[in-house]
Amino acid sequence: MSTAPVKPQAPPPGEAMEPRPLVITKKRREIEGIHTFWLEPRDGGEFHFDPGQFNMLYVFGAGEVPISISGDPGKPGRLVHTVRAVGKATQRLCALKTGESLGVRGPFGSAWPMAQLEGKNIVFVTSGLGLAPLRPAVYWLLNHRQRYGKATLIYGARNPRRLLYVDELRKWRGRFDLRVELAVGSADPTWDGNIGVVTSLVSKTFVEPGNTVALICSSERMMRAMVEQLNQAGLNDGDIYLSLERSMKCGLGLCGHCQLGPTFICKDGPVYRYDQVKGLLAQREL
Amino acid sequence: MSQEQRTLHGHPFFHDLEPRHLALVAGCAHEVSFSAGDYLAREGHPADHFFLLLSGGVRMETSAPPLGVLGILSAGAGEVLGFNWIYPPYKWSFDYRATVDTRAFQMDGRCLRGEFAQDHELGYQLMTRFSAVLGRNLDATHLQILELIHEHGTR
Repeated sequence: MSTAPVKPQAPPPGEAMEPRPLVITKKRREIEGIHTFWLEPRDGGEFHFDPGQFNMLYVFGAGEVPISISGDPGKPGRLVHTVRAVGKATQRLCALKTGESLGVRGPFGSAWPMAQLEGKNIVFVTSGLGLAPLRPAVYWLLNHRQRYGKATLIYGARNPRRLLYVDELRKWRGRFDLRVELAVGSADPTWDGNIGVVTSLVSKTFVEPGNTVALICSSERMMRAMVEQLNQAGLNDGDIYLSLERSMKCGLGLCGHCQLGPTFICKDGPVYRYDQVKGLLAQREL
Repeated sequence: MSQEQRTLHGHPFFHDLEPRHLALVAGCAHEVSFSAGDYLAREGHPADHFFLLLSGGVRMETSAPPLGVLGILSAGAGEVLGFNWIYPPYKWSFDYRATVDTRAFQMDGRCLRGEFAQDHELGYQLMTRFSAVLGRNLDATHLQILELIHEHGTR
């Protein structure tokens, strides 16, 4: 049985409720409707976090949204968030320009237990925007590469134009110590890779049961399908970690918006070991 | 057991088929090879066979104007391709093109249907296998539709 997700110390309640002003130092359009922001504290300090944690991003006058941190935990001088414009606040956020500011509360929530997984083979399985919350864990692994066994990233998207972080994926594919397997739902003849649903790659990719742990992030239904494939490959529920998404509001487990049965995703999650939430995910209503 | 039967037995689709049934399906099989770029089957053409891929890679494609030619599924060694031989009007629904040099067993559908008429157990064994492959493909398609819905944030 593997270890439980790490629960880093949350900021003190007073500090946790006060947004810290950060300035956008760089912005990049990843794909249509999805932008990545590089943020630096106005006070020049650092922003430490653990892989898998999220921040509440406050767009002045528009509202606050929970967004996973997608940058390198080894580079705390710059905070990186990748955001999809789906509602009023995220649309306003994505319209912000370099030099403008936003408020940040956090970091909140549990983390991928990277330090506790040393010595294990790691399989990352994700699709679409799910790569953003997983990317800090990939950075962590690559920053401490010698501490882990084999590493595989399995990533799927609707088509090649919807793959996130393409330049980085190219770099990672060029490494000899990280296997990268990509799948797209459809592609023109210039695409040389797999076509199909990302879960099909799990069964096609060698997974060594016994000493392998999977970190997965996607839509909830897709993650259930990923778990099924990982189980068939020989992984136990206790060897699978996932990141859940709900309507996080306060980030402190006080408001109850993100409650899932007995657990508050903003405080106890978003990263869970699968056997901790398996029963909750299978229920239609809680 | 002939070399052909041994190769068929080594393919995941037939790996647990009884020897007597393996002998019957081997009588309907012949090995084929394709160069990269060759079509294994063309959309709308008569579908009187299916393929068991032994090596290489094949892409299922269709022409989807104005997007052009789109690949919608890729398959490799150990997989089975083609279901249109099972049901009328016995025509391929998509193009199948080899993306690299590919070897496969081409299974004669009319020959197999003849064997099924004589041996219902063989028909049951093959249809059970095809049902599993079709079910997995259907599940995968439904997951892709759900991802699309999720991505657009709509119900």
